[in-house]
Amino acid sequence: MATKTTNRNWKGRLALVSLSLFIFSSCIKEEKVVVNSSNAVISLTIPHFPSMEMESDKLITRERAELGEDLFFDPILSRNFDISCSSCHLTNLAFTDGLKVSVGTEGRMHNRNSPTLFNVGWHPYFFMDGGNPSLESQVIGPIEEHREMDLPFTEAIARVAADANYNEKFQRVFDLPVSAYTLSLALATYERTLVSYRSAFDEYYYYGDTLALTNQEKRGLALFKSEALSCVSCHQFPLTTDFSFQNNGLYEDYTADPGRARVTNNLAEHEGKFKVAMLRNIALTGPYMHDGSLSTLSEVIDHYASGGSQHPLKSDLIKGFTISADDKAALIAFLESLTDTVSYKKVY
Amino acid sequence: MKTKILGLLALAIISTSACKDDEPVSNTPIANTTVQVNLNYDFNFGTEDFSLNTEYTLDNGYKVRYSLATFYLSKPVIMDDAGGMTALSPEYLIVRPDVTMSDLGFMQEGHAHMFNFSVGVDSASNTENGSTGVQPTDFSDPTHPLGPQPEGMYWTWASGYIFVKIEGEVDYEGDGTYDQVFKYHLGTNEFRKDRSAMLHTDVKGGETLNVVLAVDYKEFLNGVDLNTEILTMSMNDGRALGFKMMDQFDKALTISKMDDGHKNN
Ligand code: HEC
Ligand code: HEC
Repeated sequence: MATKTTNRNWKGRLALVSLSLFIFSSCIKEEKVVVNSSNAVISLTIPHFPSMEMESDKLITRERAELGEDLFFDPILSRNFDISCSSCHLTNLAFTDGLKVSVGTEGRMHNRNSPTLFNVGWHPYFFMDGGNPSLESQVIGPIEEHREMDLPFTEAIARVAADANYNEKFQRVFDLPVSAYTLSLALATYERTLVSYRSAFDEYYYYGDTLALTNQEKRGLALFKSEALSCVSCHQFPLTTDFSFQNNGLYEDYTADPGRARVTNNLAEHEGKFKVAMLRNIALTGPYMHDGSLSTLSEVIDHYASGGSQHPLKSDLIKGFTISADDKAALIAFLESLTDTVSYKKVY
Repeated sequence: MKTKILGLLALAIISTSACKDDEPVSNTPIANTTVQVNLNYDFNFGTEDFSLNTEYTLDNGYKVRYSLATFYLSKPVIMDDAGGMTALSPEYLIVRPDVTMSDLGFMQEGHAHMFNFSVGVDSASNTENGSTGVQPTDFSDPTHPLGPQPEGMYWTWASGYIFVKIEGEVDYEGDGTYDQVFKYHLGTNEFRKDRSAMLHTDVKGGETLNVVLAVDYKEFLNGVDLNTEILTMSMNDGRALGFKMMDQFDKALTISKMDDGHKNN
């Protein structure tokens, strides 16, 4: 059994001994990639982000991440060899798919919208209802899910193991054969390298570049943080989420998707509660909400301004507000300033 | 991973030191005081032997055929009459209709009073609602029962092991056409069944203690309306049926000590 050594002190020390890759620097616009050995441990230290929680056997190395990247783009993991992770998590859409709800193998419709995978390494649990504890075990989900890749995980392992090229790579990278442990760790490692931290907002807010945001965007930021709108209470900086489960008043009736209650069986306390969504790169990740029911940021703001539904579990923070056309444009401009055009570059 | 390596190292150290102690002290052979414990399986459909993909008839004339009947059994323990416990191994077993016997290791000779185990996976290891416990991706050993299984014994979305997974089909008219599929995927911590069976038997070193676990798949469907009670994933709307089917499974499962005629020592 793998050890469960998730423990902050240990990680702190690891960060010190590992080859640190300081990928943010306000004065230098290019990443300083200081990785000179292919198996060097990459420590993703982003000064204005909390440190990434990781078990000691799950350190990021360039080789592991590259192996995970190969798998992420390879349809070998789907029953019909037709879709890969990247079919629904597209690089140019901040790892979303632009659809209301995702479409899996044989055109099967999912009931949820594909979320961004940027900064997924910071999530304390996965899926919109938080039913899954780790990036590793999350991997089984899309592979086995009927409406996604529809392949038993044991078969996926067997397929990858039967591929001479993968087999050689797994041995070299992990010194272990292809298994549930190594296959999931490779994919999870790649996902942990998907970081987004250098939007205009970051330059302005954390690195003192007063010109990084326009006056309109600054006004939008102030609205976002205002008492009246309270966006920041749930969409907390720096990650733009506090990862809590909230009912943001989208519906009166959540029978179609009860959110957190789906996994807790507790409708009385959890109905309609979803993990607070990340807003980084939000301009690229529409349509919005768990079911993609709102097409534009303008519709999203209209929703919050209306105060939403009368659902008994709706958060007290969703109380409605009036907003002028000018202020609405400013809020949208701010949300768009969360788009990060540099993080698409690899960090390894 | 680390524990495994350390475990191996520790084992190596223990076995080397044990070698030194092995030097003969006297010529008297050391009495063998250990008892092999075997768990034998007996799967039935009423009075018939049970196997997958075989047609059986229920009392109401419906014909049924099972395509899947897999379950987890965990933490088998033998208790003596003073309350002393011997934890058997392996701790987790995945049981399918085609297995006949599991080797549960050894106990010391003496009185085997009770045999305790759970149907399902204990809550400390079972992850639920995003809590960390054990996950199939923790295992690089492809034979580990908690690793991924071909029939999928883990819910990634609600994160937890499926304790009992039973699927099949029913033919209501008995006309040779199967009309309806049934699927019972039973799990979550509340569903675990802790079982305790009286053995009340004395065993001597060198003997084998044979425990028999029987499941009657006719009993499992007894009192189930196969027109409506056909599908549950144990969650939400399916929860009530999930509880019922877990109780059905619990009723269908019996434990006994193999009678002395079969004792193979
Ligand atoms: C058919 C489209 C599809 C495919 C293929 C797919 N995903 Fe997803 N992914 C989704 C959808 C939809 C969700 C949201 C599911 C939910 O929250 O219940 C999601 C959620 C996730 C999440 C959780 C993110 C969060 O915010 O909690 C991760 C991580 C993820 N996918 C990674 C992967 C990986 C790795 C693969 C390939 C092995 C993959 N996905 C393949 C559609 C897809
Ligand atoms: C009570 C907490 C809360 C507050 C306050 C809040 N949100 Fe949200 N927000 C959420 C949750 C929860 C979701 C995800 C809902 C879902 O998936 O259906 C979300 C989703 C969103 C999304 C869609 C994200 C995506 O990728 O689909 C946007 C955009 C958004 N919120 C913007 C805002 C703005 C702007 C404000 C302020 C006017 C705001 N939110 C206030 C909780 C909140």
